[in-house]
Amino acid sequence: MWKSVFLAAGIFACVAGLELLLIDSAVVLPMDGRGDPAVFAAPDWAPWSLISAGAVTILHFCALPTGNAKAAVGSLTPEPRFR
Amino acid sequence: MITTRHHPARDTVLYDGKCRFCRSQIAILRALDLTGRLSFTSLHDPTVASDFPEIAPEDLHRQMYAVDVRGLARGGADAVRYLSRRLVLLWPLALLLHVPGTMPIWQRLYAFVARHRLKIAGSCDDGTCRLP
Repeated sequence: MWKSVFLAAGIFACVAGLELLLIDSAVVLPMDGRGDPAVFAAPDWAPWSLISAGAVTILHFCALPTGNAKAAVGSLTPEPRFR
Repeated sequence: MITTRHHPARDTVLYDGKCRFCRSQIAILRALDLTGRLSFTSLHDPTVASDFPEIAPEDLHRQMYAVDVRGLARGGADAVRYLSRRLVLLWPLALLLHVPGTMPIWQRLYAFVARHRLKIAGSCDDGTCRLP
């Protein structure tokens, strides 16, 4: 399960970074339609840091052992082939 | 980061024009700058002192500076990181330089190389870097 969490977090960070790379600023409108909209402009380095952190997280996902491999290493007594 | 009053027309890289190693790196940057986004000026050029008086001469000797069109001057590893973002061919390097938490490593590495730059390839004080 943890492996999937790392993969999802890595992909999310990469996608968010790519989105920030493509936009200059984002305007956040208030939910009720009243009040001033907030303008969000990410610093220049933010998209690259997000993509980079996402790539590192995905690499960590690749390095984690799979569930089957962990179970195979953990089981000391193999199950009998015939019962 | 230093803000200069002079806003250059293109991103300007200020480097040590009397250092062979720096000149070789600038030649590589020129080759990588396919779209002509950057201009390169030696810190020994008299226009540097008049255009960018905010940057101290000893700082210019200590590290390279990249001044963007808004007048923001970044020095050392920060300048390298900025240039890696600007040049498309350096984007793989940009990913490495932007790994969160690694900036102190790059700063120390840059400072080490900058301190020993004249030992790496020598200087041009004897006029050997001049064009014939």
